[in-house]
Amino acid sequence: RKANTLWTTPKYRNKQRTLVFGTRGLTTRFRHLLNDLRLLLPHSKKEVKMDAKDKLYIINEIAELKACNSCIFFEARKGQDLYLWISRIPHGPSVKFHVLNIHTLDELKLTGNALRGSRPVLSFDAAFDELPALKLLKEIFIQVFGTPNRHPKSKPFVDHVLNFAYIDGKIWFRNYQMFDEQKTARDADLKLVEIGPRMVLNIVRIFDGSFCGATLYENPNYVSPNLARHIRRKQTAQRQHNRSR
Amino acid sequence: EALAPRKPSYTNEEEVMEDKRKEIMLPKEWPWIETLDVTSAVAAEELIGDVENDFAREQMFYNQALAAALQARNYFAEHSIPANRPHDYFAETIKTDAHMERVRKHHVQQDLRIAAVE
Repeated sequence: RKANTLWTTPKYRNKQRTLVFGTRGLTTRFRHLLNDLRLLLPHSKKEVKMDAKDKLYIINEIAELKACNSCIFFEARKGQDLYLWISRIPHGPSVKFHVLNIHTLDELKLTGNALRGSRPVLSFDAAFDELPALKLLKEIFIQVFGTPNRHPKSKPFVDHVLNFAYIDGKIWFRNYQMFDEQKTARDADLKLVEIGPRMVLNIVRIFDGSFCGATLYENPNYVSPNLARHIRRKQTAQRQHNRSR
Repeated sequence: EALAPRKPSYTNEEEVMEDKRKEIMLPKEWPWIETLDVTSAVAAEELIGDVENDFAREQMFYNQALAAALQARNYFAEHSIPANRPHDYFAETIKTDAHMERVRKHHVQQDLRIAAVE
């Protein structure tokens, strides 16, 4: 079978290694999402949790020790907010996202499944060819989320789609199985079944360096979760105050 | 959210980001098979009416992903690259068999519940 697969195409050359890890204090849901990403990326490497007190730029040293050229890093704050960093090691750029609406692989309503280590089709919407910040992100996503052709831990099949869509100023991430529904003995219709995980990535900033350096982009629509909570509390207080008068 | 203080200006270094992109880009001469990336013709923002409408939104994501999947399939067919998993190929999956069984049971139960109401 080997003579007649994806692997008949040129040699293994897209050598991507992505370090996937996070800080201490990740909640169960965040930890599950982290493990889901590890499952989806056969070219990922593991590292033990990092202390929240450590400065983020030491991640560059950790990644270089592991011979990784990119990193996905989960940063949890206050046991309720999750920030996701994606960085190119060692010279950047790096992006900080605030992660919203997380659904992990564990959820029962998502019925799709895929081979471990099979390669995904990466689907971007047209906005990723228009806005400079998104063009840069598309290049990073291709390298970090794509499975390199002929990676030793990958399988020579393509059976799922990672979908990135930019709406409402945020990036929506979905993962679908490619499923052939048999119409007749010879004909099959391509359908998709969602596998998970799901998440919404809100860009906070893009930095020139890896976990450091000048800011290249700031999202004007980003409201930090602390401020959002503060405003909500204030509004509730205002309502209560008005009612009591 | 209107109460949030707005900064006078936000950084958006378009040229630097473009340079950065060129710096990290994978070699242009590599065949598509190395990356498998597809970009849609129309921006999602233009297709979506109401972002709050879960059903319409998910349907749009589905359509975008399906178009990408079909484009990939066409490429494989054109270049006679068999990228589908053969039916007799068994290997470890992302979700375990036990997990898939739980998913199946959950759905059977859901169907029963709906049937009971009807």
